[in-house]
Amino acid sequence: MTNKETLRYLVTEMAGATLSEAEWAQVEAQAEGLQAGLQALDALDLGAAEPAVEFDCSEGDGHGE
Amino acid sequence: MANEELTSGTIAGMAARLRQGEVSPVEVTAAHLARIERLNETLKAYLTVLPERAMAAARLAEAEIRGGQYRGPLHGVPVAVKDLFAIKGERMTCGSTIMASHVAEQQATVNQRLEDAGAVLLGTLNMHEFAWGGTSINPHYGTPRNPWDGERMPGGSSGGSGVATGTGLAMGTLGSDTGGSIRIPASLSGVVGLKPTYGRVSRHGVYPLCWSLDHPGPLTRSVADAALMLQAIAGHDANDPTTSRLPVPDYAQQLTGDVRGLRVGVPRALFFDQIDPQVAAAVEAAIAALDGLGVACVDVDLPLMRHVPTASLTLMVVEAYAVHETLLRNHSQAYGSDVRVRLALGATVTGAQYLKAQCFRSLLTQEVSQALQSVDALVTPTTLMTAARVDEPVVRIDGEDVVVAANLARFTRAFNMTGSPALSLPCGFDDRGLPIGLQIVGRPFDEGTVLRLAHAYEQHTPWHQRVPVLSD
Repeated sequence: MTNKETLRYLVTEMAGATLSEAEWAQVEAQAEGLQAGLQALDALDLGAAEPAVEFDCSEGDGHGE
Repeated sequence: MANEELTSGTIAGMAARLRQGEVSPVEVTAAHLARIERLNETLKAYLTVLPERAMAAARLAEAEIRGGQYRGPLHGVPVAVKDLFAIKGERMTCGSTIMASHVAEQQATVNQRLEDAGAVLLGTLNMHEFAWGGTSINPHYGTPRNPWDGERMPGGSSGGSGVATGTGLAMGTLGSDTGGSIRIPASLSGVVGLKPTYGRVSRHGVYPLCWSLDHPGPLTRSVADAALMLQAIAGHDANDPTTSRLPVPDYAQQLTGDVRGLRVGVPRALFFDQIDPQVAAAVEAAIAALDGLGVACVDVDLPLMRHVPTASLTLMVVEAYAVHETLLRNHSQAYGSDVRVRLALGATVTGAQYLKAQCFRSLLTQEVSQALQSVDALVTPTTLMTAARVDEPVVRIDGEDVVVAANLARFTRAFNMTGSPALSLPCGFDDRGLPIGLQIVGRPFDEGTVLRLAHAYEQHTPWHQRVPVLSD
């Protein structure tokens, strides 16, 4: 599948969303920009960082129960 | 007493009069309801007005104050909340027709804390649909109008909160901020907006946009009022496990007016690139004013900022898609076009990419934390521009076309990723009379220093004294 076909599969089949052609153009443009930006992130040493999913900006102040 | 006189000024000023019995909560609330009745059709700030609930709360507050049971500076003060803070038993639409008939079954902790403090809830406020946008252009309920120019957007997503606060339709309001949605409307509508530290204020009962980036906070007409509202809503909540158990300090006590010896960092790279020259000039003047107050202003470097748009968008589209997956599948045509496109984008990002964005977030937090070891706060413009016209999706800045909706959060969203406290307050007006916002960012849980700097600046500058002239 091409990138555009993959996008349409994910949005239409997986997410079940219906978009107009104008909206498809926006999704495709934004997805292209986002993927390029994510590739640029790879240049950083992300392996040195733990993902901040358990977000805690307070350095162990007792967040959470 | 003239309604205008009862709907202007600050919470702090009104609180003193209410406490002394000079004015009653009933007449102040009635004046606000009358003003809403008169202006809301034009301003479109409120989605739901609760006159009976408000008057009942006002009568109770009046009886309590007369009986010597004064609860504090919000007692009898009319306030309102963005239409995603649940008020038990009342309609909550999140600015969407998908939820047009939804009635909240729970009470948001922040609303309960406002009522416990004696505040009078006037109703719920217009917003960008599901908080997923920075303009508050709302195709379903109409767009709230900028207080300073009715043809312009108020900023968002808490647009109704900025408009109601700026036009005397409430003494103060609550908004939520995922990428700038408190600070952007504060900047564009000329009021104070405070995004507290992540974990300082409970998100329980707040309809989520992105769990890990959402921050509730106040919009007010003065920095002291922001401190008062924060005081009422801050603190640990057993219903929100991400809230901190750190004690809540007395914020008002920290508004000393004395900021001598404090140091602020100015991240010039990126924060001053391709922005409206009038915004840059106003912020530079504000930095000079802080310097004049004895604050040392130094340049700081935050090179990771250039990756923030990608990482922030990745987190937002994925988390928002997770929230909306079922609604999107069943009601995709009921969303506004811009929100539908952003939600669809969320379905195209992989789990690995989401985690990379979270890893980047850790690096960014380290970088900002390091910068804040040598300074007490950061100072930046809040937005790159003043309010655009509602029908103007692209503006020309520095000889280049800038897409308004995609750029309003350029300077704010980084601090949702780091969870830092960040406040916007007016620091000038452009040649069209539109307000300009100054952003002050602090260390985690150091809202006190952010408020102290903002208050000192406010007290030494005239911007907060300007009020918009409304045509009925």
